[in-house]
Amino acid sequence: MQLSALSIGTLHQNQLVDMSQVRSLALNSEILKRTVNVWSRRRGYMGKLLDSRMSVNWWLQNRKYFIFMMREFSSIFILIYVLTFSYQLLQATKGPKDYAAFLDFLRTPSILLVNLVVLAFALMHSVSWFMLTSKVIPIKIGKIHVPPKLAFFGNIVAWIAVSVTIYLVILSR
Amino acid sequence: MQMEKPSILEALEWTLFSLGGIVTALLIPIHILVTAILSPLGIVESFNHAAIVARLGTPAFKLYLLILLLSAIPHTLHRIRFILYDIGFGKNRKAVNTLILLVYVATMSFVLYPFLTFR
Repeated sequence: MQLSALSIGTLHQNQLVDMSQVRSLALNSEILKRTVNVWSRRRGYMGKLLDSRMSVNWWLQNRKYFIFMMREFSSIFILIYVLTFSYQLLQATKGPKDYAAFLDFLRTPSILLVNLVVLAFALMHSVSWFMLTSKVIPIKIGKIHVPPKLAFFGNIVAWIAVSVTIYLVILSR
Repeated sequence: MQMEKPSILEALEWTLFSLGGIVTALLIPIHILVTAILSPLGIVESFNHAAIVARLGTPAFKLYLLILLLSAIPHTLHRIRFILYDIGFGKNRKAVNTLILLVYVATMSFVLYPFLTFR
């Protein structure tokens, strides 16, 4: 596969290409260096080579990089939620007083606002995850390949079904 | 350029990352909505003290919570590790990995603690 400066940015993460071509192209362009790094570091090809040239704020320079980084940042919010919920469980095991104090804390408007932001990031994580899996896991029914858009739609339907089931069976009683 | 040989540890990391990603994507939003927004607002009553203590006694509810909470940790810490590589700590991968490992142990213990101490 012959690579050009234009095609390199659109390469799929798992696509097999001649890495020497990628490297020679990447070394000639600042933008390509970053694109290639974001995409190739996960495979461990040349992350080490390029990491030394990454700036702290490269992801603020372009909308696509920014969205990419926001998707990664969603993990921080999810981890914060997991820890606060664990703390809530801990308070529940201590007794009704401690638990009530924690619920009062959750009820304060600023914390509710923070939790809305956490929810927004969690939703972003889910949607981006289902987009990703519908692209990287090809589904074949008989001889027909299911197009990624249809697989994404299927994922969303399954997600809603699971959410409703979890709510009815576990969370609402 | 030679492809790096994938290690078993790396394969395990990516497996836990993907499994955690699926579980988190499917379960976390509804869980946040109910426990962090609807229940503090009083719209859902199922997370008051008596209800949650009663349910924590059932193995099914415990199992659900453990799957939910424990699978989120490898997933999120994996991404946080790569965020750190990306914002300029790529030169100090060993330091980043050590830090992440410590956070891993700390968060895992913190999440497991209420389950171990409960009655």
